[in-house]
Amino acid sequence: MSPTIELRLPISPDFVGVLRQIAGAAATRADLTIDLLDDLKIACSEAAVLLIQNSLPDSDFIWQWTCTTKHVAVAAMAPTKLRSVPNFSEMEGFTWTVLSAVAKDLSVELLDGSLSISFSIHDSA
Amino acid sequence: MRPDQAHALIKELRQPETSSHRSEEIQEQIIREHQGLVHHFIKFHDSQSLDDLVQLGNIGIIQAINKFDLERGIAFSTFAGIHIRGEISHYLRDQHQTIRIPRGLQKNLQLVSSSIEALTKDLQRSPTVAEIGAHSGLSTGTVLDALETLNTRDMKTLSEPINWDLSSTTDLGFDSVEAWATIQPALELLSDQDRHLIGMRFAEGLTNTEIAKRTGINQVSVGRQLNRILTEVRRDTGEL
Repeated sequence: MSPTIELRLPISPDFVGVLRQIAGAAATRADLTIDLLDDLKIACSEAAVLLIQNSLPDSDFIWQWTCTTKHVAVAAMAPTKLRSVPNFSEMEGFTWTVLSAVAKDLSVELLDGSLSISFSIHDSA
Repeated sequence: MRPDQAHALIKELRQPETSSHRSEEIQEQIIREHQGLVHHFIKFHDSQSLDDLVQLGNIGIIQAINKFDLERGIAFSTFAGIHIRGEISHYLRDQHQTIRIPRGLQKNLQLVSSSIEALTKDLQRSPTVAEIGAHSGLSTGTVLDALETLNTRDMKTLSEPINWDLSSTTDLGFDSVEAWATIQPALELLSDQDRHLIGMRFAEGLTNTEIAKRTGINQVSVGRQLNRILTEVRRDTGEL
């Protein structure tokens, strides 16, 4: 069975609930505790908000969850008109503050016209 | 109204020698000058009574006048916008709060909730979905559905304390954490209890289980309350 779950969705707040459901399934597959499952759901919701805010209208975002034992790596991207990587930490946003508090290995990149956010949630014990 | 004009009026309002008549005049002027902002926030809610929403927006402006920190260096309209949006969205949330949960689902929610409590006690950590499934006899899919329902619905079906003694927690003083100081206006909209929860979870880095232990609220309720707060703050700050 592939360790990766991939999903392509229209960029809209209406689909954040779907992302939470998939995040729950990914956490279960990685056998994370429900505390970490909650972290993963929160991180996916907040990353979705950042992508929605910075995406081109009527585009899709692509999500990938890679599940290994006690570890889920997430990569999400959406087409954007941004020309440089935004410095979210200087933008005084609640969303970024929460995302950076729960997600590990958090990074933001601009790849071929798409804004990409990647992070992981894992059991550090 | 320019930011410096708003600042000057609020400063005058707070002078002890300002008469009550003049105070009323200033308050009315600030409310009048920010009607565009009120209407900006209610334009998406045309099915609601316009007059009621304007009144709520004006209450938001009055709150902003009372709480505005002249030293902070942000524009009054930004601060007022947060309070206007907050008043309107709290009202709308209260209008749509009652949700009926089917009996079968309620039973699953109670099973999952009690399994989490028992397993957390036995394992001395939060359980996994598979462990909850084995303990409750439910499939992992059903457990996942129940967890999401418990997290996102505002329910009074499970017995749980909603309030706890704040003295069991410390107010982190968000100003001391740079990342949180910048979003202080959004946090000011929250109740003391909600602010403490956000502080414990995201500034102090506690898990839901650790917060549950510290406050005496159960773990599921901690998750649900945090989810509600995040949704409200996102809406109040216009981030989604």
